[in-house]
Amino acid sequence: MDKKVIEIKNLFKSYHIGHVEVPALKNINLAVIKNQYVVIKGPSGSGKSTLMHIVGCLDRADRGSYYFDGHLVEELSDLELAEIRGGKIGFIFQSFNLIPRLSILKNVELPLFYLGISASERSSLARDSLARVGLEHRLTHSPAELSGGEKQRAAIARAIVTNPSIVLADEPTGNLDSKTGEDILKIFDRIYRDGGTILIVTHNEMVAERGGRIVTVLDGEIVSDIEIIRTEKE
Amino acid sequence: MLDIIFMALESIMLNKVRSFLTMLGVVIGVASVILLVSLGEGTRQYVSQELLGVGTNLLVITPGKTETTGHAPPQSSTTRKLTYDDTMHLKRNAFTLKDIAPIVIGTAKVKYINRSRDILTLGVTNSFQDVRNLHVEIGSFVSDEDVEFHRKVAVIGRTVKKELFEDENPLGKMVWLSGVKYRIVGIMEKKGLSFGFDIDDLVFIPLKSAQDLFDTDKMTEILAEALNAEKVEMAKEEIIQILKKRHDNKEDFSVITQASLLSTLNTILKVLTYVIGAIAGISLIVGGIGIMNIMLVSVQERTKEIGIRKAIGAQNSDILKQFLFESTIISSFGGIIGILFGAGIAYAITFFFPVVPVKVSLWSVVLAFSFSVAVGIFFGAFPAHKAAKLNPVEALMYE
Repeated sequence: MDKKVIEIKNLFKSYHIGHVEVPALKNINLAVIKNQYVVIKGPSGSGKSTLMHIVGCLDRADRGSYYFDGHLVEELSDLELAEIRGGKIGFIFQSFNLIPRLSILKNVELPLFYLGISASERSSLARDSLARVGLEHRLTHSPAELSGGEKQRAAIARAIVTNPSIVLADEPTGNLDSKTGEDILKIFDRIYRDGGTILIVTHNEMVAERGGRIVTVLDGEIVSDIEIIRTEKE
Repeated sequence: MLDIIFMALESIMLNKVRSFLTMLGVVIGVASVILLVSLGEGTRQYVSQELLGVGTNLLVITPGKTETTGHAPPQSSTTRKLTYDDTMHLKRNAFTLKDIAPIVIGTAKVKYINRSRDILTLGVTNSFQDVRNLHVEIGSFVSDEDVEFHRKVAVIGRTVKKELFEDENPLGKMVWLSGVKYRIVGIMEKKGLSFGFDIDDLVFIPLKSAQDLFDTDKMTEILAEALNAEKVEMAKEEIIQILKKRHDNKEDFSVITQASLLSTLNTILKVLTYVIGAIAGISLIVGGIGIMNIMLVSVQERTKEIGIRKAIGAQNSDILKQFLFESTIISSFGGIIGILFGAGIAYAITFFFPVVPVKVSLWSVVLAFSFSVAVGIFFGAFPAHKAAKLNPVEALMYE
C-alpha cells in the first residue's frame, strides 16, 4: 500500500519585489509516498528552497493544493500547521539551527516540549534519539562546543525525536566537509532503511545520488523526476 | 507552564546585567511608590493621633468668621473681639458644655537671673488643664483665685524649666515676665513635640494677669469641651446661639470642632498621599517602557531562534507566553525588590529619625506589586505579540 505522505497538485508560488511579481514555483506536481528517499535537485534560485518551505508547512502556496498525510494544508489554521511541524515533520537545515544557549539534550527535547510531552518522557526520548546519531556522550554540551558534523547530527536527532512522517533536509551537508558530509548521509540512509521517509533539497550531485528518486527543479518547474533502481550495496 | 517559566528564567539569567538594569527601573518605581505613600500615610496617622490626643470633644471659638474649608472671612475688618464676659456667659448658659477655657496668647520675655528668652505665654484659667488635656506635674496649676486676683504666678513647661533653671528647683523662684515679677508655682508634665511645636516650651499665667501683661481685654481663643463626642455638634449650635445673642445677632466668630478639623485634615492628607503615590507611579510606567524597549531588542536578537522554534512546532501562543513570562518575571522581581527596598528605607527613616512619621501600609505594598506585575504584562504584550506573529520563513532566514 503506497501511502502518500505528500501530494502536491498544480502548485504556484510567487514573490513580490516591489510591484514586480517574481514567480518562484510554477505548476508543481509532486507526490511522495511513505518510505521513499527523494532528492530535490537544482541550482540556487531554482525555487527548491521555496518548495521546501511549503512542503514543511512554514509557508503557504498561492494556488494549487497540497495534502500532507491526507490533510489539505490550505484549510489548516496556523495552530494546526504548528502541530504538523512539531509532530509530523522533522526539519534539518544547512546551518544546523540549534538554539545556542540550550544544551544538546534540551535542543533535542524542544519539539517534544511543544507537543506537550512530560519532562521525564522528553528526556528519555531525546536520549534515545541522540544515541541513534551517536551523540549520547554530548548531552550536556552547548552547540558551540560541538564540531559541524556533531551539530548536524544533533539537528538530525532533533528532527527524528518525534518519529515524524517525513524528514525534510535543506542542503544538510552544505556546511560540512565531504568526509563529515558522508557520515551525515549515512545517517539518512539508516533512517530510510528503518522505514523513514526522506526529502532532501540539494544542489550537490554527490548528495543527489544517494536518493532513490531524483526530482530536478529548474526555474520553478520540475524538469525531471527519475526513480533510481539501485542494486543492493553494503 | 512551569517549563515556560523556567525557560523565561533561563533567558533572563543569560543577560544578567541587562535584566538587572531593566529591573532597576521597576525597582526604583515601586520603591518610590512605597516610600512616598508610607510617608503620606504616616503623616496622616500622626495627625490623627495628635488631634485625638487633644480630645475629639474639643471646640475652638475664635474671633472673626472663618470656615475650616478656607473661605476668606467676609467681615474681617469689623471683627468683634471675644471677651472674658463672653466666656463667663457661655459657662453659665450652655447645657452641652462640660467646661470652657478662655486663652490669651502672647510672647513674654522670660528672665531668670541672667538668662532670658522670648517664650510663648498663655493666659489661662484652671479649666485649661482638663479641656486641653495638659496637666501640671509638680506644684499647682493656675487657680480660679489666681485669675480673679490677677496674681503674678506662673506655671512653666519642661523645656522652659530646663533652659532657665537646668537642675535647680524652680518652684517658688521669681522670674521676670516682660519686666513683671512672677513666682513659679508649678511645672507641667512632659508632652514633647506636636506638629513640630514644643508644647513644653510654654509659660502659663492667670488669664487676667495675661490681659494686664499684654494690655488687652480680648481672648485669643476660647476652648470648649462638649459633654461627650455625640454632643459636639449640638454644643457648636448652642455656642453660636448664645454668642450671637451677645453680639448683636451677628455671627462674627467661628466655632471649629476638633472632629471636623480632623476629618478635613484626613481628607487633605489622603488626597495628598494618593497624589504623591501617583506621581511615584509615573516612574513605574517609565520602568515599564524600559522593559518594553529591552523586550523589543530581545525579540529582534532572537528572531532566528523564534524561527527555529516555530519550525520545530512552537505555536504562536508558545512564543507569546515565552516573552510575556520573561517581561512579567522581570517586572515582578523588580516589584518585590522595590517593595523590600522602599519598606527598608521607610523603616530606616523611622529608626534614625523617629520624628518623621512613616507607616508602610499593606494596601500600598499590594497595589505597588500588582501594578508592577501589570506593567510587565502590559509593556511585554507588544514585543511578545510581535515575536509571536513573526513569519517563520523570514525569521529562519534572519541572520
